[in-house]
Amino acid sequence: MQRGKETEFCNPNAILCIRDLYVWHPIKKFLVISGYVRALDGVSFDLERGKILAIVGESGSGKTTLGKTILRIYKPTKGRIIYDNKDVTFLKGKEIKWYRREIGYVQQDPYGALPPFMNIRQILEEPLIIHGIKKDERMHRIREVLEEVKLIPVEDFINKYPHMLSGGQQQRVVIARALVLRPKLIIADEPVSMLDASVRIEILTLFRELQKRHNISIIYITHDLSTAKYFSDKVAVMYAGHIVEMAQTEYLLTKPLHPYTQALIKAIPDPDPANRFSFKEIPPGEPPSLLNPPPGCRFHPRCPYAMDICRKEEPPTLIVDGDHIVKCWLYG
Amino acid sequence: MVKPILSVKELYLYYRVRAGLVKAVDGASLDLYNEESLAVIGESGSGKSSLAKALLRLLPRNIYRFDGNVYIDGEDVMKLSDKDFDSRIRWNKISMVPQASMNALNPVIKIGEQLAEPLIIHKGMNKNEALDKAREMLKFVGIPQEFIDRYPFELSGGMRQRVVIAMALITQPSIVILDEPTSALDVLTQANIMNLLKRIKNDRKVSYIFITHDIALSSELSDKVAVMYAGHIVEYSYADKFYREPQHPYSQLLLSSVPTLRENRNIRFIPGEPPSLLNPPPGCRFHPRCPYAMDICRKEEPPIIDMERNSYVRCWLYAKR
Repeated sequence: MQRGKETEFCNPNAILCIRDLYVWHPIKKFLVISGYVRALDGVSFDLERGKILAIVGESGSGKTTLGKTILRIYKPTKGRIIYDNKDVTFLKGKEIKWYRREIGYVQQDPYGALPPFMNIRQILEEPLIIHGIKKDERMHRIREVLEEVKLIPVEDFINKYPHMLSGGQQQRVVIARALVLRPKLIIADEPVSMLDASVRIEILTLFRELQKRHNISIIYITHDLSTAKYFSDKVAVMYAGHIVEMAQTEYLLTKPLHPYTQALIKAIPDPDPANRFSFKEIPPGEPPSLLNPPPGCRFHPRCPYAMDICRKEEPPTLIVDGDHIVKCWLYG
Repeated sequence: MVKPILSVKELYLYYRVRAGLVKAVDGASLDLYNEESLAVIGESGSGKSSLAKALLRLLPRNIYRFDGNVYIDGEDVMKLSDKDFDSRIRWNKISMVPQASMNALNPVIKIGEQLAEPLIIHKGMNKNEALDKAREMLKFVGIPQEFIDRYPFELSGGMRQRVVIAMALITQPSIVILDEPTSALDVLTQANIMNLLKRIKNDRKVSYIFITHDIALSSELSDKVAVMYAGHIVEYSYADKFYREPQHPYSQLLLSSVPTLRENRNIRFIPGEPPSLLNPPPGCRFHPRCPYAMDICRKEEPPIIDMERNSYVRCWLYAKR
């Protein structure tokens, strides 16, 4: 293993470059800011064109904030978001419309994401109207996209309302809405966690097909490493607002470097009858508060290998073995 | 021969709703032995939570049919009145860790008092005795004793879950129903809670009914497995056999849809959607999605077919004709 060095700047093949992104949400008490929730604290990564990047983390790790900041729903505190070689970090108002057209969003709860008073045609038509697609083309696009997500025959679905569909079908409508403007990048935030096991794989397979067919790049936000294994090219592991490790999916799973990633892998069971006899060695405790994170490495209070330096100084982001990135003093 | 601690024979639970009848539990039979854990797995709407509610008799008002035999320690508890069931069975012999138990705690009552409550109600202890016991129980589930005077909001999700587990154990029941006990928790917290539940099973000699939709997780706590589909137990088997050689086509497809972290295999999905319990398909309820469906599956409901060691499968493929 080569000695680590600091991460370098943008990759020309990348559709999206995130550089040193901070999102701090202010906490206000009587109109006075009393502190900040440090949801994202210096996150950097590149997403290559036509690849799926899984962002894996527990609740409160900042993975949803990251997704919403890339979508520019949240305002970044500092840092840069570079999409297709254009800086979109602080675009405002009309300037940002073209960007919204290029990225699609798939939410976690399909029922909550669909307006109950609109039928499927209206739901899919709305973004087309907003972005000024001509009337005769709209119907053509809606049909095309419904076929794409396999809600066929289209006539059976187009006039239905969300409550008339099953959870899996609702999620397909959400995906269709994300696709209808023909985006180049899709951000899918826990797209299958509300669905049943048998339907999950079907939806994830659909993402894979779309990625291959249209060369769409996908950011797949999830808490589940085992689906990330099958449906991503690269994995970034987040903990308390930091990316603590990032690598090609296969390497990350077979050679995890960060103690947190190692614990995550150990914690996830495979269906095996031997499991009932074994106890797992899992670090105790809970993720830290983002209001007042621990000094040094944020994982140190739970880390079995914590050293003195981990308690005092934040570990640097190191490159080991090509593009395997780890934020841990053990490799410094 | 050892007698089961819980034996359920042909249990039915139907709800009446405006649109018709919901056959949530449709003739379920199972046996649970001392210090054994039975995993009940199924997708949403398969009837697994209704099964738990039927066993604890925590039922809503719109019941249309509730019958069958439930033997606990050899006694048919279905014959008991609601009052007798409440005073003698519920929490004394069978208790439950409910789903979303983060929200199962009363936000305005201190942890210790909530923990002591079942002892005061079901065991007739006085408050001081009960609080002592509560302190002991907190320690057992790994929470510092000074937390006894705290309110639920002062605890993290994992700690609240431990409190709810302590509450289910405090009256020393022999059977604990775990209804998705970790579904709202983080991966590492979940693994720690599973460790705790295994330790409790070994130390306290309890039997579990572990209800979950997470097939990989079910293997953490199962000696036996019951697979539910649309109100039926379609396969009832032993863990050592089930995870390697599932018998029912639904079980086979369900297991092959589980992404595995260590093993590399092709995962597949089950085409179609689970049926509505209001209007299940005729014949076998799985036939519209089953790759082996035969003519008879579309017409007649499959019988329960006994396999070795009291396991069974509800499928025409295994019928001797």
